[in-house]
Amino acid sequence: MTTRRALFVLMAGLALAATPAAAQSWKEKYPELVMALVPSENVTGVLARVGPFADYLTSELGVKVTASPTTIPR
Amino acid sequence: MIEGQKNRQIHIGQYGPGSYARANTVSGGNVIPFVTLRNSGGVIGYYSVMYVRSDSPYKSLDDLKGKTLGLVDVESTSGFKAPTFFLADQGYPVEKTFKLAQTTGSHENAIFALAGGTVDAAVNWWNAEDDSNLTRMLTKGVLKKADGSPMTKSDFRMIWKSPMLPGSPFALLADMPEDLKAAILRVFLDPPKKNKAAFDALTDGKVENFARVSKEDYIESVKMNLWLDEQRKRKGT
Repeated sequence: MTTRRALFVLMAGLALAATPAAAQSWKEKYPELVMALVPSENVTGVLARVGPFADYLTSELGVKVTASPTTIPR
Repeated sequence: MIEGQKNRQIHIGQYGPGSYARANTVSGGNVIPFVTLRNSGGVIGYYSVMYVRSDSPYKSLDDLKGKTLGLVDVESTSGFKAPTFFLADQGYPVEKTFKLAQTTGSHENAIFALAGGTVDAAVNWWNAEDDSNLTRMLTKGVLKKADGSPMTKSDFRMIWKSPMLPGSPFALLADMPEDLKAAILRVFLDPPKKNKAAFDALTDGKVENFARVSKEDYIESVKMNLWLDEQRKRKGT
């Protein structure tokens, strides 16, 4: 599944793209991201499961990532 | 959720392989898988399984002819699509084998229906002996016998297991900026120890890390989805 080459190409692309101007442009266009997960259990369990990871994404990406419950079980 | 990604309101979505296949199709290919979870032991993928109660006489699919089955939801991979697809392939088409096969709305509801005796058998997701929706429900203590005592794994018997399904993919929108997609991918692929609490909450601590996947890993899921659509059209529903 993972090929080192594919990962290398992606990481190289990331290095090139990680100029402040480029980073700025997507954050302006995407000030908030929404993440949704298929529930493998009922809704309250899903939010407890996803919330901390959404917070982690928020701190790493620098834009708000909101977790959204959905109704389609996996 | 499928509509949400199609309408570009949901940027990152985790699917089952079957609902991903639907989202990829209805979005015109704009919903693209990028990682999945690697289970303990390094396994990527999971199974659909069928349980009966261990105090029932049912030991095989043949014993379940004319009985009732609890499914999950028509878009659920392990709780509907995979069992419908593989059981038909193995000579036990769901609508002919069972007297009644009904969706219960969620994986937990399917198990509750089985535990409570509403259905004779139920399908569900299963990662490993120590990690399934059933083990998680037992850990939470939500399954109880009629006398109120807690149920255990020995109260259930697995009588069918599907071939391995590809791991439930996380998918993002292909038309987002390349640097945003790369940033998201990097956060997911960072070692889980960087975010252990969040990672363990997400996975019940039963998962090693994220593994990179691509569209090609889900070709069989797309085929399964097309087959199911074909069956639905044939029945005119």
